[in-house]
Amino acid sequence: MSRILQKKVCLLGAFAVGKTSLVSRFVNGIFSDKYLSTMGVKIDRKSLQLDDVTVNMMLWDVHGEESVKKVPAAYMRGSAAYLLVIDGTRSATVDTARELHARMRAEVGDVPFVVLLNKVDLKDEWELSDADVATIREEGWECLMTSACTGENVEAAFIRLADQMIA
Amino acid sequence: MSDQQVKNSDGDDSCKQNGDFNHLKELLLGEESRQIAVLEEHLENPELHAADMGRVLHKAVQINQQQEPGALADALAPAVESSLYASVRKDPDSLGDALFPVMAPAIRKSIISIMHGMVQSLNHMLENSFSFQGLKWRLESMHTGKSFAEIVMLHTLAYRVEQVFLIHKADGLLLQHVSFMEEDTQNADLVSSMLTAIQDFVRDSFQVEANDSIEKLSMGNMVVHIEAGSKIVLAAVVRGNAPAEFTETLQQRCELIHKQMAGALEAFDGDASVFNAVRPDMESCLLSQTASTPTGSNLKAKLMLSALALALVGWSVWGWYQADREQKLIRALDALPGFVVIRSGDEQGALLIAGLRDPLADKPDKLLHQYGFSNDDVRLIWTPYQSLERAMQIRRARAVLKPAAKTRLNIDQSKLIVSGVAQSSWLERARALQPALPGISEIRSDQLVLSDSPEYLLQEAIKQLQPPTTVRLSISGETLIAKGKAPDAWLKKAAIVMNIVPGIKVYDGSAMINMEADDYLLAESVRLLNPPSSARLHVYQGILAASGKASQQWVERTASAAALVPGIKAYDDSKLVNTQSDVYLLSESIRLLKPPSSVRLTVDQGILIATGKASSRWVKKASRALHIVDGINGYDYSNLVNTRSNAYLLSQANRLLKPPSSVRLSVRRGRLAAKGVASTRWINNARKRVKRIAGIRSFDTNELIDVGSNAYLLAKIKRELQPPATVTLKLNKRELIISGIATTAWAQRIGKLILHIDGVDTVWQQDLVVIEKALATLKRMLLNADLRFVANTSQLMDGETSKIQRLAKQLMKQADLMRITQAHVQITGYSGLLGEQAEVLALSRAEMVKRELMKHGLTSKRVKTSGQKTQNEGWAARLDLVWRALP
Ligand SMILES: Nc1nc2c(ncn2[C@@H]2O[C@H](COP(=O)(O)OP(=O)(O)O)[C@@H](O)[C@H]2O)c(=O)[nH]1
Ligand SMILES: [Mg+2]
Repeated sequence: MSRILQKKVCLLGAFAVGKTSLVSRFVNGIFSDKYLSTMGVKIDRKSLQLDDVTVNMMLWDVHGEESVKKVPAAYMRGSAAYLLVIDGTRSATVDTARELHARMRAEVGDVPFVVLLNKVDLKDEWELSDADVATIREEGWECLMTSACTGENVEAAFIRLADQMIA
Repeated sequence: MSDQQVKNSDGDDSCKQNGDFNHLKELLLGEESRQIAVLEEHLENPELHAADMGRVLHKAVQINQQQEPGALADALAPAVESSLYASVRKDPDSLGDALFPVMAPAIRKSIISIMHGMVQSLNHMLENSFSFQGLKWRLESMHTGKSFAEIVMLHTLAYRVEQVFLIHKADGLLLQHVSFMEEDTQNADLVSSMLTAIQDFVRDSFQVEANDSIEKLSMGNMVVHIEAGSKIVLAAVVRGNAPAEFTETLQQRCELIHKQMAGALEAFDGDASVFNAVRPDMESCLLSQTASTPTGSNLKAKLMLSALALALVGWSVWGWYQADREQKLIRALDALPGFVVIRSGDEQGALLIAGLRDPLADKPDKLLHQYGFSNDDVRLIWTPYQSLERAMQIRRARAVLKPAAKTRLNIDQSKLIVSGVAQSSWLERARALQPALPGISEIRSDQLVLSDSPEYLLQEAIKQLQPPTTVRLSISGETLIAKGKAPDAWLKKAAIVMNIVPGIKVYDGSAMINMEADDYLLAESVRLLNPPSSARLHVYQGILAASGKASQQWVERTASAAALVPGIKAYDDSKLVNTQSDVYLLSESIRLLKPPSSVRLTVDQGILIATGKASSRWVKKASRALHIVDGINGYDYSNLVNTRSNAYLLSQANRLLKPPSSVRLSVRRGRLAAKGVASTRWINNARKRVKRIAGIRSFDTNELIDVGSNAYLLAKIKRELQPPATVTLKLNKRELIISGIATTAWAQRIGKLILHIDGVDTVWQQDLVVIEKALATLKRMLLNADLRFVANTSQLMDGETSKIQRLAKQLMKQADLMRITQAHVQITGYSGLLGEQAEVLALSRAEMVKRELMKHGLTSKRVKTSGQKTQNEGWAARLDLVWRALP
């Protein structure tokens, strides 16, 4: 029996980690390196067909502020899952991801999430060492190395999230 | 009928040459020509053309829609889209801005629905195109920048509910969507999420209650009505102004859906299919209403005419305005100095102006701009001439004479008036050139100041040098002479006056006094400050210094006045002693009073304060300080200790000797006395230490009892034995000697005590006389002594006097005892005679004995006599001892 499910999915992460770029890569298959910082929230939709279920993901690309406290709580509420985006070239974005993760847990509870270590195309410039990545994984965080620039793992990440949501 | 039409078309005489050709054409093409003419008429005449279009347009659109669905809509989209964009942008509300980028799909969708609406009512719209209302709408479209189509839409529809969204409140997911135009529901889910985000944003940004929500969002002419329930949100997109009842309708629907779908809402997991059930409820919200537009063709025509009339009036007003502007420009040009306008006219649409222009006159460009003309609008043709207008004449004189900036030129009739300042050489040259100036007959220079005249030079020198009032300047030939005094800076400036004032060649300042020179400043300072002879002033490099001594008043006055001496830069009085200052008075006091090192002197506001210790001699001297030290006006010695005073000496002694509490020290006239009881050690130490106290001359320990001494012991024994005054106790080593007189009672009492006296080994009491015992012994001795007399005489028999002498000796030994006890010897005389004589004889015999006793020391008080006539012959006088009983 075929079903259509709608799910609210939040993209969270520090300023300029690549949330908007990832969404646009996933939704439109394009990457624009023309810098455009998201204001407030930007919502996109992407449908994924998983077996007999169509998942309509409403992707809430939440404006990444310098201070995560400024992300309105209401934007987080009602999320069925979320993506935590970390910029491999800036290790400080890991801390921001942790804070956002904590806030998300407080707002929506224990919902599925996937951690994206983005900008893997710039691996040479990464501040994050392999050891750092290992530490993050040890926390039980499911991590995927992505690049909004090359498209690497982007689709995989969203599919992984959708999988967890309908499981 | 077709003939007539040909004739009609050919009826124009000017086309005679073409007559043959037309005829041929008519023969060949006849019917076609006529048809073409009809078509031409239809194309040229807008009325007809519009009618034609109206007849076919809906069909054309229908076909277009079938063949290329949406093509027409696409073609119209950009125009409508941009106009909507503009209208949204006009609203500065930040919400609108935030909303715009994400609402774009919704807007696009709405535009498409507008398109559909437009297609439907296209006929209606075109019918209205040339009506008065159409004209009005066109004007409105021009005015607002909105497209005509949009304006028509706005006016023909009062409102229309175009879409209704049912939104899951918690996550913004779309549960159901109904639309006026069914085919476009693609982006409804995005719009739904976005509407939720906007609500959230507003709630977070404006701190409203959690249950409050936005009720209306408006963008341009679109309003989103939002009805929020506890679980769902019903949002309706409305174009135009919905009536107030609409909000209620929405509210009712919302409540209804809530009730109906309560279970489904509870179980919602993203699957919205169950909400298809509420579609009918939502569709019933898709309301609309057409606006009523009153149209009457008669009225329409009238209004049309009046509009035309208005246009005509407008046109003529414009023409008049244009002509007036040109006239004004010409007049202004003519009035400009150096211009004469001779003729003007229209030349190929441009304004032509021709006339005379003095080459020295201003360019006319500015004036053109002022009147709103550009250089292209106007063609100017000028013939050069020399104007005799005043302004031009002055301009010409300037060009020829080239006056200096300070020289002013003016014209009065035919006279050129020069004023201001000029060199005499320039004036000469000007006079020489005067004939070259047309219209100038004379140069008048009585208001001109010659810059090389002495008066001018002096005036300039004064102006440039600004001499102080102490300086007098004068000019001699080309030399500036300065006399008087001035500050250095001015002198320096004056020295280079040749560079500042042209015409002055030499400066003579030999008679000037430099007001900043030290000796001048010193003289001025002395004059103004008038120092006392004890003080001296010096000036070095403008700094005034005072040294020596001066009164407080002068010091203070000078401290402030010194700076007022012109030219003095600073004043230094560190070397000046203020004879009234405390510091000075202190040093003087020390010098003159020579206080001992134990004294500290201070001076506070002229009061001498001494603290510490000093001898009375010094204190006495110091108390005359007022006479000794000039300037001291009082003293305070309350904290000064006199080291010779009894109290001080006593305190010193107490401090140094530390007497035990049993000792009391006292001092009188340098003598220290100690009273009380103390240990031998302390006494010995005290004797040594007392010598160290300056001012103590002797140490009196007479009344001091040494605990280890006999005296102390003796005193203790005395306290114990309580001897009467007649008893003497003596202590010799460890021997107690008790002597004197005591009663038996006392003797008995001490009998036991003396056996246990501390510090005494032996007690001697041989010399203690016990009263009762001693007196009894004496009494016995006296009673045993019978004294014999020669018969019938009072003459003692031989040997009796020596007997009496012995008795007297014994009595005298106990004289003290007798005195204490008030004892006396009772002598009784006897006679053997009868008669009167007997008594006399008896008494005289007693008296005789008394006399004898008294010879040997007894006092008459201690002897009493009496006589008795009858006695036996044997002995004639008897003695006895009588005393008073002891207590
Ligand atoms: N090289 C590279 N640049 C990226 C990648 N993802 C994002 N960027 C760049 O990072 C910047 C921030 O991206 P953006 O998507 O706006 O970040 P956001 O603030 O998290 O939405 C932009 O200049 C992007 O071009 C990536 O995977 N590789
Ligand atoms: Mg972004």
